[in-house]
Amino acid sequence: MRPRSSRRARAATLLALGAVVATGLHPSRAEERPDPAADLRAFQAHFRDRFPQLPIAEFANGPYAMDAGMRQQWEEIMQFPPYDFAVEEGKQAFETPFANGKRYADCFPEGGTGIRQTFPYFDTAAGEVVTLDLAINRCRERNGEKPLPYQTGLMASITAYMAETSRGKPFDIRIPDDKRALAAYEDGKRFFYSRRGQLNFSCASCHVQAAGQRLRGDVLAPALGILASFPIYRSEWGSMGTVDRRFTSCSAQTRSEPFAPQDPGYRNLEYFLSYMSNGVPIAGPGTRP
Amino acid sequence: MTAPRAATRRALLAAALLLGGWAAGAHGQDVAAGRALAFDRAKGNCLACHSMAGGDVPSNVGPELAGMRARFPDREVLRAIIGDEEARNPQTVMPAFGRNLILDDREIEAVIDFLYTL
Amino acid sequence: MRRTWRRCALACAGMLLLAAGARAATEAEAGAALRAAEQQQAEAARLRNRWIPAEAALKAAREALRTRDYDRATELAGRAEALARRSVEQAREQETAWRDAVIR
Repeated sequence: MRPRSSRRARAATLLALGAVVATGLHPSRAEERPDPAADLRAFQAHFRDRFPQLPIAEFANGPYAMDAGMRQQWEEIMQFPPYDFAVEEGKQAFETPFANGKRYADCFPEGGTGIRQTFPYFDTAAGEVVTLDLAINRCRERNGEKPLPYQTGLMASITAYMAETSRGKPFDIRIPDDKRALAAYEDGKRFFYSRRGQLNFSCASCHVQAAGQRLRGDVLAPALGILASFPIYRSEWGSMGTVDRRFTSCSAQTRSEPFAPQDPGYRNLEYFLSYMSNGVPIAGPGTRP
Repeated sequence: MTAPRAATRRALLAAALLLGGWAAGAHGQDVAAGRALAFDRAKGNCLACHSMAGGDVPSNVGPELAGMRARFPDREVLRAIIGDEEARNPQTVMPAFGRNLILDDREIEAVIDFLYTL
Repeated sequence: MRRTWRRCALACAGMLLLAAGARAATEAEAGAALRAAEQQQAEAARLRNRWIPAEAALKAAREALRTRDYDRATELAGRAEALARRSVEQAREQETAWRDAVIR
C-alpha cells in the first residue's frame, strides 16, 4: 500500500499532466512521470537486498561475483588476460595521429583519458544519447577517417584501452533536466522491461528476475553493473565484443530481429542501464565465459 | 484376380496403421520424441532453465523437473503451463511455447509424455 | 465382400488425402498467402518487433514461390503470418504491460 499523501501527490501529478494527455501522448498510466533518481534508488536497493553479501563494486564482475567456482576459473584466466592484445592495439591506435595530424585525444575532454564512466551522455545540442563508441566514430569522421564497424575489432580495442584508463572510476551518468533526455531515458527503460522475441523475454527476465541463476552452464549476470566491464573478451565468441555486440546477440537469443548497432533504441537502453549502475566502478575491459 | 485384392488389403492395413499411429501416438516413440524436444536448444530447451534426470547441467532458473506425475496429476495443468504460463503468472520467465508457436500441439503432448516419466 | 473392401479402401485413401491437405496449392494461392504474411511482418517492423523465425519463414516462403513449390510456399507463408501476427500482438500488449515488471 502506498501512503495516502503519496496518492494525493499522484492525483495532483495526474491533474498537471492532463494537458499532456490531451495533446495526444500515450494516455495509459500517464501519472508515471519519469523519475530517474527514484528508479535508481529502487533498482540498486533490489540488488542489495537480493545479494546482501556483495559490495556494489563487485557487481562490475557479473557472473564471477556470484559463484565461487566461476571466480576461481576467472582468477586462472586473469593470469594472462585474453584482452591484453586489444588494450595494446587500442592504445597504439589511440596514439596514432589521423591523416590530418589530429588525434582521438583532441575529440574528448581530458584527452580521452579516464572518462569512460561518463558515457553515454545526453547531448543537449543534438538532442540524443551519445555512447563512447559513437563518439569515437564521429571523431574519426570529423577528421576525415572512415567509421569503424561497431561490434568487434578495432572499435573494441579502442574502447578497451579507454576503459582501462578509467578503471575504478564509478559510473557517473547524468540525466539533464531536458524533456528529450527524460524521453530517451524512459525509452531505454521501456525497452529493458519489455518482453520481446519468440521466447518472450525482456532484458529484465534474465538479468533481474533470474540474475545469479544458472542457465545451462552459465550464470546470468545481474543488470546492475552489467556494462561496467565492457568491452569484453567472451570465450563463447573467441574474440572481443562491444556493448553493441552484446545487445545484438541478446536480441537474437530471444529470437527477436536485432536493431542495427547504435540504433537510438540501443543507445537509449545503454543510457538507462548505465545510469542505473551509477556508483559501480568501471572494470573494463573484462572477460566473460 | 486375387493379386489386386491382396494389394488392396495391404494398402488398407498400411493406411489403418498410419491413421492409428497418427491419432493415438505410439507411447514409447512420443516419450523419446518428447525427450529429444526437451533437450534440443532450438525447440523445447527445457534443460536451459530446469535440471532433470539425464540432463547433466546445473540449470536452476526454474524448478527441477522431477516427480511430475505426482506434482501434476492433471495433464491439462501441465499443458497450460507449457502452452502459456504467462496467462497464469504474468511475470513468469517461462516462454509461452504454445502461444508463441515454439512447439506445436503434438510436440507439446510429446514433451508432456516425456515429463511424466520424470 | 470384395466391393466392400474396395469401397473402404477408397474411403480410407480419401480421408488420408484430406487429412494431409493434399490438394496442390496454386501460384495465386501461394502469392496471396505470402502477401498476407508480408503485411503482418510490415506491421511488426513498424512496431520494431520482428521475430527471427517469422523473418526466416517469410524468406523460405519467397524462395519456395520462386522455385514454384506452391504447396511449400503456402505452408511457410501461413507459418510466417501466424508468427508475425503473434509478434504484433506481443508488441501491443507490451506497450503497457512492461510497467508491471519495473523494479519499484
